[in-house]
This record gives sequence, C-alpha cells and structure tokens, in this order.
Amino acid sequence: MAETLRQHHQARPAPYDFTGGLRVPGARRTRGQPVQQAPLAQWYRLPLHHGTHRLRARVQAGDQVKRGDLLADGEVCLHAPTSGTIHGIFQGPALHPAATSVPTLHLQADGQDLQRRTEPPRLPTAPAERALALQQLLHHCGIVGLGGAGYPAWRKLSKALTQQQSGIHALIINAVESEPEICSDEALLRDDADGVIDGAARLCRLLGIGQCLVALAQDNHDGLNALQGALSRRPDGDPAFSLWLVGDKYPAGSERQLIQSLTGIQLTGSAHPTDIGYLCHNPGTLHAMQRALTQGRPLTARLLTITGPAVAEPWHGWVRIGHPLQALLTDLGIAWPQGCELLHGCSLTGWPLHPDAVVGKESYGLILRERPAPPTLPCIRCSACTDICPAGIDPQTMWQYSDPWHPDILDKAGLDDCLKCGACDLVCPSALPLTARFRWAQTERWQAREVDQRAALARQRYERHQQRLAAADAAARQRREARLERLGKRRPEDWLD
Amino acid sequence: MRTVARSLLPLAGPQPPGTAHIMRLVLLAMAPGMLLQTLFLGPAYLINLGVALLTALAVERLVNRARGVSWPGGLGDGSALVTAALVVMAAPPAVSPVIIAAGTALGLLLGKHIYGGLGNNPFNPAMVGYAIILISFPETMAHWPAPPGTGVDALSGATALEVMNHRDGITVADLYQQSPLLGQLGGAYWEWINLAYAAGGVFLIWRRLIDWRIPAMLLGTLGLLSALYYDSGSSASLGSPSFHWLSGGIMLAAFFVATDPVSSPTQRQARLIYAALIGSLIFVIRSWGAYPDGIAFAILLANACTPALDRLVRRNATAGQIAPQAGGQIRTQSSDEDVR
Repeated sequence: MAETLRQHHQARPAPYDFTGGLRVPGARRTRGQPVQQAPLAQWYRLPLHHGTHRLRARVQAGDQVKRGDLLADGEVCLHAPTSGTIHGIFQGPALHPAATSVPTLHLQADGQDLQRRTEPPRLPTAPAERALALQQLLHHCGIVGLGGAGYPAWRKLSKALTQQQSGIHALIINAVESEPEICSDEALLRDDADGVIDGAARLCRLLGIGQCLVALAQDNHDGLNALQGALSRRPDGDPAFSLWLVGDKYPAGSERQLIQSLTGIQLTGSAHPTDIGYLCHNPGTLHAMQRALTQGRPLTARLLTITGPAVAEPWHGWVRIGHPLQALLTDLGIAWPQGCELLHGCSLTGWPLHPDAVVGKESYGLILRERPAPPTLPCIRCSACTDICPAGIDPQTMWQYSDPWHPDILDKAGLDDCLKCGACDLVCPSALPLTARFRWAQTERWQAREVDQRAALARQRYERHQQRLAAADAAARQRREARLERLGKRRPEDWLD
Repeated sequence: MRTVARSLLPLAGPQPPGTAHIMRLVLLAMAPGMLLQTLFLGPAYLINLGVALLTALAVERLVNRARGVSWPGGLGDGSALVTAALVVMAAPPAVSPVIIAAGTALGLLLGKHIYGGLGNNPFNPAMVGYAIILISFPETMAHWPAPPGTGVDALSGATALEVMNHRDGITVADLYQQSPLLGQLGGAYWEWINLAYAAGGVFLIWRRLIDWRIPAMLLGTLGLLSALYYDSGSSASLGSPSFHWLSGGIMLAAFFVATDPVSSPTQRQARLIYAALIGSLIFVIRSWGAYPDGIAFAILLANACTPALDRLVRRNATAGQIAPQAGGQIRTQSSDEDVR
C-alpha cells in the first residue's frame, strides 16, 4: 500500500529550463548531518527594524517576558526568543549590508526558557473573513519568508488575494536550495517533512487551492525521500501534491527562475508569481505557518547552516532569532579569525556582516571565509557575465554605467531585474565585485525614486493648497460683490467723493 | 564568450580563469603561427619581438606610475604583451626595431591608455599602432621578403595578394603556373602560417576564450564575397575563397584581433554583424583599395561601429513583463471554491 502511494508521488523533472545560469562547483558539507539545536545565549538582541520598516517596541525595560511574548510590532511582529528580562533599547546594527544603526531591544535570558501558553487559532468559516483572519494570524505570529528575502507572509498573501482576480490556483513549495553550500531546507525536510506538508495542506485548504507543486533539487535524495514518506502518511482530502525536480544549475532556487522552470513563464520587472496565480513559499515558512495554524505559536527560531572555507566543522541546526553571531560562533566552537568575514546568505549572494549583527528571521546561512582582495583588474568586456545572467540582463553594461553614475542607462539595462544572485561575480575573469555594486546601485535608485516621489507629492500638495487659497479668495470676493450689490452699489471709494 | 563559466570551470578548477591567464593562453595559441612565420620569413622577427615586448613593459610601467596604478594591477593583465606580439607579427620582418618600438608604444598610448586603460579602449591597440606605422612608413611596411625557395627576387617585396591584383589579365590558373610566390593556395608558406594561426584560434575556441561566431562569420563573409567575384578563375577574377582565406594576415586577424573582447561588441547578434562587416571590408580593401591587405583598417572601422552595433541589439528592460515561452504553462486544476 505504501509502495503504491510512493509510486503515486513519483518526482518528475521540471518541464522547462530557465535562461542563463551556471553549475557552481563546491559541496554541501553539512549534507546528511543531524539537525542540532544551538545552545541558549545569555543575551539576545532584536533590531527593531525589518527591511526598510521601523518596528514599535511593545515592552519596556524591566519587563519579564516568556518565549513567544510580543516584543514589537509593525510591518512584522517580533517575539521573545526565550524567557528573560528586557534590559532596554540601545543602538545596534540593522541586518542589512549598510549595517545602519537602529534601535535594538536587548533581552537578558534567565536560562529557564519558559514558553507563553498558546492556543490553536479559530478561523472563521466564511471564505472572505477566513482569508483576512489568516493574514492577521500570520502577521501576529511574525511569519516572514524564510528563504532569504524576509518578505512578510501576510503581505504576500494579501497581495495574492487582492491582485489576482481569478484566485490562486497553485501553491509552490520552493525547496530548491541551489546555493552551493546551504543545506537548511534539506535539513528541515529530513527533520520534519510532515510539518512542512501539513502546513502546505492547511494553507491550501484555507485558501481553496487545489494544487501544490513541491520543487526540489535533483540531487536532494534525502529531502525527496522525506517528502515522499510524509506524503504517503497523509490522510485523504489533501490538495493534489506533485513533486518536481529541477537541475543543478544555479540559481534554480530563485523564485523567478523556479517559476520559469515549472511553467515556462519568465517574470521580469515588477511582476510577481501571484500575478500569474502562483503562491510561492519556502518550506521553512510553511513549517512556521503549520506551527501558527495548529498551535498559534509565533516564529522565534529558524534553521541555519554555518559553513564556509574558514569553518573546520560546518554546522546546521535551529537557532533562536536574535542570537548574537559572535556568541553563536563561540558557543559552537567556531573561531572567527582576523581577516575573515562572515557572510549573510551563501557565498554567492551573501554580504559581509557587522561583528555585532544577530541572527534574523531571513538568515538561512552564514559563510565564514577570508576577506577577498579588492579587485585590481578592469572589465575587459568579455561578456561572460551576460552569457550566464539568469535575469537576462547585461551586467557589464551596468558595471560600466554605475561608475560614473548614469541612472537612465542603468534603468534601461534592467537594474531592477537584477536578482543579485552572484553568478556574474563567479565567472568574471577580472574578479570584479559586480553583485555588490548592483546591490548598492539598486538601493541608490530606490532612494532616488523615493525622493522623487516625495517631491512630486509635496508639489502636488502645494499646488492643491494654492488652488484652495485661490478658490477661497474668489469666493470671498464674490461674497463681497454680492453684499455691495445689496447695499446699493455704494462702494467704499464712492464715499470718498 | 560562451562561456568562460560553463566549460572552463571543469578544466581550470573552481576559480574562473583570470584575465592574465586568458592573455597567457592567447600568447600560447599565437605561438605556432609566430614560429612558422619566423622560420619562413626570417629570424629578424625575434629581434623585433624582443624589442616590442620590452617597449610594452616599459610603456605599461611608466603609464601605471603616472596613473598611480600598482604594478600587478596594471601589468598583471598581460594584454600589453599580446598587443606587442600582434604589432610585430603584422609587420614585415625587415622593419627596423625602432619603428616596431614606436608602433607598440603609440598603439598602447594612443590606442589604450589615452582612453583610460584596458577595458575602455574603443579600438584594438595593436591595430592602432600598426596602422600608425603603416601610414608613416608605407615603403618599409610594404616590403615583404619572398620566402626561401620560391626563386623570386628577394627584394621585389611583392606578396601573393599584390601578384593577384596586378596580374595583367591572365587567368588564375595560369597565374598559379607562372608565379611560384602563390604557392598552392594562398601564397607560398603563407598558407602554412595562416593554418598555424587558425589552429591556435581553434584552441582558443575549444577553451571557450573567444567567441566562435566572430571568426566564423568573418571568414564566411570573406569566402562568400570572393566566391561571388571568383568568376570561375577568369582574367577578371579576384581570387578564390581559399586564396583569400590563406593569404596575408587573415587568420591572425580573424582569431586574434577581431575577437578582442574589449573592442568587439558584447551582444551575440551585434558580433555577427561586426564580423561580417570586417570580412566584407577586408575583401573590398584587398580587391579595390590602395593597400594590398587592408585588415588593420577593416578592423579599426568595425571597432568604431561597435558601440552602435551593441546599442542596436541591446535588450531594453520592460517593467512587469510576463513573457511566456513557447509551450505555455503547466495545466493546473483551478479550484471550484471561491477564495474570497
């Protein structure tokens, strides 16, 4: 019986391929290792910041909190990673390449790790109310995309529900970790594939999605086995699950590239998978959703891979959000030598972290490696980057026109489409830091556009204000004329005679 | 280059080949052709080569010091050595080393550094240097020695291309009978030199360091035009495709100069147009121009078109575009239940 069910969940190769990309050498060193638990830290630090949004603290210095208590809300809700005392709010680096100084909540752990009692949420039965309640639940549980972008799950859902008139017709579980070193999703599937599948099934049922596509890398045998086992244990009444294998080309796990591999549709510019009726989630996110949907538990920990050339014994396991990185490395017995940098993400997309940075919800991997030497060679326009660019844009043109700064040409060349996947860095014969430049250029463009928008808004407001003043003036003049009319055309100047 | 990444990684280890490594391989690929050219045309090439390489090193060092660029950064790319070798091999062996040194130095200075160094030069530096000395010393630069054993007056300085152009109305077949300078196909010994350069070029294509499109399109256009004007070898014929493919510096130009990544277009379609332009210009200058072999001018003219060609085919970003591939999308069952 189990055998036939497994047969039923036979994995198929993805029907399409995406443009560009390349095979990245390197091994996943933590593949197959047991999933561990990071020891509790004495201090946790939580930047009151998510993406470009500030968060409001909901606790005060001296408050006693338990694990799962709300600490801050806003775009994303933050919860206490363990029980302890709120020490205060100090300045600390944001989890961002610029490491801007932002207010950071300090929590002193008491070591008991007490949990707040949570209850399974009750969602209304009417579809419209249920979708809204689901968004609220995801927001209150602080769930964001755990695949690296950290996009709030409630926002993704609300966009999907408001933009797509014909509804979402499929959920895609993106378990393709195409990054060369990272094994977090694979570890999660081995650890708790049932939870992931259960979360996906619940989400599908709540939203009335009939189909769930699970995509994973073709060499991820452990993950595939775990998924097939979990699927064979499922009761009836589930959405139709199907397993899809994508090739080992990087960046197959990037959302747009995966959509292209599965559907043959290439999304560019500001298009999202929800525009074509797909809701795309990382297994970690679905696992967190399952916790939220079944137990009402907020997101306070995530799976994380720590590896890199400078790490003797790579590690992966569950880490609480807000764990200071230096303390984490020390606790795990990993030395952070001088001249080494800790990258947030994988070695291709990652950016160097501030020494005081902490584990965030979007931290899926940490890479410790020697700081690379600054580039000494110029671009020779060899086009190696253009040939492999998965977004189909022209990195060397963007490199050329980002210094000196030509924003018009950059926009035209497709700067906004850049995934910052790092493939161009890998093939550049002059070893130029292309991705870092593009990350900076994108931020610069976004800021400039925001300033433009604000200026346009201010101009609009000023013009409307002027119009209102003119209208009020005209009305007053009219009233005066009318009154003079009533008084028999005796104007003040007439009295002077 | 399709692509350094995809196929070189297994050959060159996890790191992509550096720019200096690429230039070393280019010099290695040029070596067989250079060797044959030296053997057939005279050991003077060795002196010129030494002078040109030393000049290149000196110019790079001086310019890097003036620009405040560190030594490995400026010279580490090795491209100046390729430039020097190209200037030497494009010129006849009897040219004075002083002229060669001047050509190399001016090529590097006016062809490369004046624009901001490697990567910013619109023209191929070697062709700039060669064109400068070709125009400045037309007599010396046109003076090619006859290869040994052809029995031709060694001082006549005529090449196969000139013989073909000034043959006074005899058929091509008769010409091959009359003039031992023509060899079997494209000029005595020159056909072997060209084949050696072509072999080096194929090596570079195999290592995916140059784009096969450029030499293929260049030689294809040249062959097509010469076939159109071959006129079955009559007295008005302009020479057969094989003659044009194997005479003069054509293979050196097709595989080593036209493929220069800096001065050639980056987009694939643009490269095809660029190579076709060079091929047809070479044929036009050879057949109806004042110079027997117009490769340098053809390449410089095509270099000038490179930015325009790139702009012609460059992709423009379209915001929010959803482009379906042929074949459409996976059929998914849409749910009956209304979401909202």
